[in-house]
Amino acid sequence: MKAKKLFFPMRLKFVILLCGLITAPFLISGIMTYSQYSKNVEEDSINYTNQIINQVSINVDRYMNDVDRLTMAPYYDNAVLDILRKHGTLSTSGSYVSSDQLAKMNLMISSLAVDRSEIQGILLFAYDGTLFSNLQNTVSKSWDAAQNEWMKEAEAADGELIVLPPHTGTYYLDEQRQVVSIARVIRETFTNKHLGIIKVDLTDQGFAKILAGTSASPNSLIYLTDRQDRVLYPFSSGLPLAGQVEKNENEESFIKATKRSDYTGIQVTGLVRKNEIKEGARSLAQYTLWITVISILIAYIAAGVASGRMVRPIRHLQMKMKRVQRGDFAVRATITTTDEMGQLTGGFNVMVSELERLVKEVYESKIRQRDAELDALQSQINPHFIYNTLESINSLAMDKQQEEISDIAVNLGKLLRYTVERKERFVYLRDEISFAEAYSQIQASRLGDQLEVEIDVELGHDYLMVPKLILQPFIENAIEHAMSADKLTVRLYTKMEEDHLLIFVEDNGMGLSPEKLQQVEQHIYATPVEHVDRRGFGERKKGFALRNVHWRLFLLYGEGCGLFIDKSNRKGTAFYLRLPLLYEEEEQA
Amino acid sequence: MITVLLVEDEVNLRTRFRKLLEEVIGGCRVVGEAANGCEALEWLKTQMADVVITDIRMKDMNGIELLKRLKEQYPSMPVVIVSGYGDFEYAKDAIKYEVTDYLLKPVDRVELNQVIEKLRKRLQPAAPAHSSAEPAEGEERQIIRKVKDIIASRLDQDISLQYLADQVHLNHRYLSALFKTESGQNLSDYVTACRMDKAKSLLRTTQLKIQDIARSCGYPNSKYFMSVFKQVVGSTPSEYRDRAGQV
Repeated sequence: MKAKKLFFPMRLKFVILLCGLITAPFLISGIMTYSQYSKNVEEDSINYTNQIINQVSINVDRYMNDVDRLTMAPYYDNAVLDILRKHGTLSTSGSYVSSDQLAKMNLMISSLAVDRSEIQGILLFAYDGTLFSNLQNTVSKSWDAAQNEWMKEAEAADGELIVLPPHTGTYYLDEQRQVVSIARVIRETFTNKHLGIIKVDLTDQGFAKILAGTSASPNSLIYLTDRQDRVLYPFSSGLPLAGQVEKNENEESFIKATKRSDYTGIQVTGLVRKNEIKEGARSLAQYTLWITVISILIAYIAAGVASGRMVRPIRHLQMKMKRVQRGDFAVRATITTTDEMGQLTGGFNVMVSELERLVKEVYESKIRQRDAELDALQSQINPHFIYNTLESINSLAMDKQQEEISDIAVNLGKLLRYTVERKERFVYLRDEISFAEAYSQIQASRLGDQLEVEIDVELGHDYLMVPKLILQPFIENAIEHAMSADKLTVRLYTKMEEDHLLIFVEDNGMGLSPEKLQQVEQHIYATPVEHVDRRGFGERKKGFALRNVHWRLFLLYGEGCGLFIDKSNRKGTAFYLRLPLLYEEEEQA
Repeated sequence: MITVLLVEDEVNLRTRFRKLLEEVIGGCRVVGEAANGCEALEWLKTQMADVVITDIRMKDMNGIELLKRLKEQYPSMPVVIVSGYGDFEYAKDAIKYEVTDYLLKPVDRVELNQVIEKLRKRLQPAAPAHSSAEPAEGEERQIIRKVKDIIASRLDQDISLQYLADQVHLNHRYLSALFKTESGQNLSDYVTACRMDKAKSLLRTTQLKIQDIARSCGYPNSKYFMSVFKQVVGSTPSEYRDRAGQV
């Protein structure tokens, strides 16, 4: 395994992938829908505004046309024309107005004003300074050119209709009224001589009525301007003027539509706030956003569940695989799906069962083989048979007073029992010494007085624990290598050193030459390759027994323990074993 | 004289064993022989012996079964098993039915002698009184006393069987066997007991460190000393000292 590589579980990857796949299209479609929709809405509202403005323009034209007709009324009434002719000049008969003339004029003007509440007043200006109107009480009877600047404009139009932007009617007696007016110069039919000026003062009610008919939204603004871009409507109410509105707010935020009438020259301007249009789009966007969020959440949950379902068989398989790694071959994974995962799981099961079968086969065959070997061995040498035979020899020897033979038989029995029957790996030092003694007694009976084994072990060490079969090889070794013509004495004694037990085996034999010593050391300390486990006594390659003892101790107890050669010994060879002090602690407690 | 019932399925072995008991070791008389447990029980119906020595593996009734029956019928009768089987299972059963001794084949003369000595002591507590054996026994006693003296004087040093044997001019195996027969105790157990007594007295009477006490009792390693102390005395040295201090 590589160290420290980030681990992402499969499920997490699945969830991230699925969530990504879900979120991206939702986002893209949402953004596109929103922008397209708001574009459409804008276009629609531009068209709609244009339509409204056209409609308004037509209505305004019609209205103006209507009002215009009023101004044409004096032409159809000769009496009125006559009166105007009489008052045409300042000098002739003075500005006296007879009651007859006044009555006639009033009749005509009043008839015009009937049922038109939006008309503030209809005024007829004669050039001698006389002012006729339908409002006798509130309008002065005469006028002054200096106070009526607009007249120049009307004169200049020479009988054509003019529209006057909001101005103050100076001739009103009660209050200074703001009015929009339509005026026309009345001319002599043939001479084109100016007879007077008719002026219709309008309140903004008329326009308001027209505009109210349109279905423009309450927050949109509609302005009427004349040819000189002077504002005609609105003028009396507190509504902000178009120019100001446009200046105050960014022009970008308005949809603007204009229409200029050829007939009156009145321009209709409509301003609709874009925000207002977008309000709809925004609420749609919000709506879609919520839907998107909810559906994404649902999709996420679904993704989590789905990935869990997808990953579960993998997890399951992984878990089972770990158990197989730990050596449990009875494990089978359950197949839940029929897809590749199911096939993989099936394959795993087949492999594991095959493994199980193989392991069992090998294991069983090994056991069977071992059993067979053991059986063969046991049938060859039935221990009971051997012990009985030894007992026969023993008693036979005693019968013939051959005590040495008896001793050999008894010791051989002990030897066999110790090596073959006792299976424990650790024994009391005392038992190990007894075994070494039994062995040396057999050897002594073979070698006669040539061999003497002195066991000089402190009695307090009797119950220390040592690995089995560590002493006998030394005696064997001494007999094999140290024997000379002289009597060989092998001395075995123990010492305690800190936490370690030292077991010395000394002989007074030939000893080792420096070269030989080196050779022996090399041999003992060389890493064991084979025969490590061959214990016991009997035929085997020379010197392996000591080596085995060393490696057994070394492997059991580690550095510092094992077999050592005591080089201070002057005569003969001296080995010692070093091992930790082991005892059965508080066995009786 | 100890009377013996010998139970063994091989006739030759039986004959030789009888010879060993009667002639080599002496002081015994084989009054009955049986080839298996059934025969032995049958024989015991009409006659009596001081001790039964039996093999384990026999036809009809094996030694363990016989031991069990004998313990039911004659609870006080000593039974010695002689067997080729050192198996734990057999040993366990034998201990369960209170076997007196368990000898392994091939039979070691010295060990057999010890067993017989022990039996003699058990069966004839007044026996040492007879005159012919007295000087020899007195000598043995003297040897054992000498050994014990040597041990007492050397408790702080190494005491090996070989050293003791050299001091009394005896073979070490013989000394070991003799000691066990005479004092009924293993030599090493005796040494340990002596050392523990010394340790206890030192713990009680002195304020020496446990390490020093261990050394003066022949244990250079105090941990080992403490373990042995705990096993023999039943408490750790310091616990023992505390308790002794309170009394």
